[in-house]
Amino acid sequence: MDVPRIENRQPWQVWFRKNEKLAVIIVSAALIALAWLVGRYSPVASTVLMITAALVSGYRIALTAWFALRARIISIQLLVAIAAIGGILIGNQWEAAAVTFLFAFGSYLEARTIGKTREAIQQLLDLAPATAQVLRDGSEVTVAADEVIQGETVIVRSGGKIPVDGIIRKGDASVNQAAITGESVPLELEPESQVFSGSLVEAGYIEIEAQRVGENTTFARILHMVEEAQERKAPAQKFIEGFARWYTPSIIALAIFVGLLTRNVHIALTLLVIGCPGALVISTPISMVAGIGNAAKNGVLVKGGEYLEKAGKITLVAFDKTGTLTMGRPQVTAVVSFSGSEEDVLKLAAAVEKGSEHHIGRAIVTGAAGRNVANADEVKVFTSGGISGRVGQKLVLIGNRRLLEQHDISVSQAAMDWMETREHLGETPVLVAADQQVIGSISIADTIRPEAWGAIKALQAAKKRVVMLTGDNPRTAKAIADQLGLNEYRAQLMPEDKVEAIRSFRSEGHVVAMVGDGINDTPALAEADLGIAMGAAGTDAAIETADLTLMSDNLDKVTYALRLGRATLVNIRQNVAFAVAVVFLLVVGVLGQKVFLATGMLAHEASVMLVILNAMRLRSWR
Amino acid sequence: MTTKTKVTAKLEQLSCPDCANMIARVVAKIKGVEEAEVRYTTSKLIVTYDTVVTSWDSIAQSVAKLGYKILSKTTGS
Repeated sequence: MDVPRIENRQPWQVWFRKNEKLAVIIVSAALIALAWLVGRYSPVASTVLMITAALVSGYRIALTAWFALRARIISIQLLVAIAAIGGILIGNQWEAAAVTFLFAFGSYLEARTIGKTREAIQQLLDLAPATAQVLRDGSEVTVAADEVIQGETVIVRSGGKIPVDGIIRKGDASVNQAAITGESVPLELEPESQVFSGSLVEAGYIEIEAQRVGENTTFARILHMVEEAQERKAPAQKFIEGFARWYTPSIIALAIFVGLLTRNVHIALTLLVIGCPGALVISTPISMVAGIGNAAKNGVLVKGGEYLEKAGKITLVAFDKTGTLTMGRPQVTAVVSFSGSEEDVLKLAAAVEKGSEHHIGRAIVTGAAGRNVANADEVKVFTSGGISGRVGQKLVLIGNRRLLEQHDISVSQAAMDWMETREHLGETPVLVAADQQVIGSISIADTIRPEAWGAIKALQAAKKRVVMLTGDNPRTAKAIADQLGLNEYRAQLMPEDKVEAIRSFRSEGHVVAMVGDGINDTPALAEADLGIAMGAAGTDAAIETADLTLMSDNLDKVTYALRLGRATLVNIRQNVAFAVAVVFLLVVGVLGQKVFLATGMLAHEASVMLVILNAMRLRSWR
Repeated sequence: MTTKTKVTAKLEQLSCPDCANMIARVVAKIKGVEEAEVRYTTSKLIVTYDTVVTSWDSIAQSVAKLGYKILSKTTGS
């Protein structure tokens, strides 16, 4: 570790320490320029200046080469150093200076530009607040954001950033969750709403009960995941790196062979300069880093570059219905009674469904809210769908026709007609029986997401096959599919049937994306080529399983993700094609004596830079 | 009681995957280093070493000798 020394440093010394690499480049460029200027008058002075320029820019390269060589590693720096020294020895000082200068300048520019590519992530990082206002012993204190204790009350005012994940206990505010969901439209949040660290309170005042802090917040985990995704090597990248490992020694061998055979040292040295297929090794990872960064900024988490590539190849998109194409908030739309009052049907059903986890059950309970609902005992849930329980003296059974008939309850024609009517509307009716008699039916419907139409149309316009998968009955499924303009759907599917459906699409040769809520369709997400979970802010399981996670509930992000995948794929292909062409042309050019040290290095560095710049276009892609 | 430790260090932005591989290979050759990896895209050095045989300082020194700055460091996985 450095011991801080108390010393009076001039400002330029401080600058030099921080920008050593840039300083070396500037000095060496100035020396080269000067060498050209004095060349006319004094060739000797010019030669000396050129050699000095080569030494200035080559010093660091040679040092690196030396330390790597001591560990018995042949580095690119070693090849460059040999080329430069060789250049001076054969009387080509200008080329030696150009080679070292271009290498140093190229490396500097490339590192800076790649740093820019990763800026999207840095911008996200900057959104995390460092401190939090916490209520302790009745007074407000400022603490570090990761030192907030779970359960504490955190206060955020207008213009402040939310430092923890938690629940609003007091106050209301308009909150911008762009950092998490990529949606910049602020939400009006009230007590009991969930809030996430990294969100911005645009106006209002809220008191939050802290639930997750520091490294455990959704935001921290997003950042962690994005970083891991960028580090993950795609298969294509591994292949290219394998090629490079083989290419560099081959070029060195070729250089030695050509040098010995033709006695042309110039060609041999030039071969060393092009010994690293720089543009090729960087082509894939740099596009992926840029693509993943763009996705993260828009609330789409990608598990790795290869999934972004896959998103670009999707030919069929399968959507889960409930909670994905629909809002996932079913409501009671109609109640019919065949004996007694409609009120009684709803109240009896609600009593049995009180503890139900099923979305239909919850809709019934919500529908009966405010009414005097009794308690049920002996509640039993059927795995095939349906529930039963005892309410007072009555044995109540709720389910579809099949379940009722299994319990020897006959369903009247009137009941069946009523159900059919509701199903044609895209609703899901259930039968309510008490003491072996159908007493009524409750119909439940979910609202289709407003952006669903646009998203499906966009996918169809992009020539993708779109299929809806649902556990609902065929009539309801058809009604919803018709409303959405979908001509393909599969109904009455159990989770394993969804897996089977995906498998059959894949065996037809489709590259399948499955879009679901990531909770009850996990197996289908895993079976698909690309599993997309939506609305995942706050749900860990979905983020774990899915290859692509949409932090928001917005279906438009599905089309965005697939388009971004396509753009990334195209970008990678452009880069690889260009890089392969450069490698080929350079080898041909050098052997054909058209390319020499300086031009070889220039072509090499310029090609790397072009590949990076091309990838950077993905950063601002929309 | 194990004397092995794992350190993740953030390096200055690397310009090419080759430099990343070179640093990793040089660090891996230090006596006492069990595993060294440099992730090019995020410029991270992840190294596992035996604290009895070598120290973080000597690892940091070889990285510095190769001409790369270490920006920050965290211990543990």
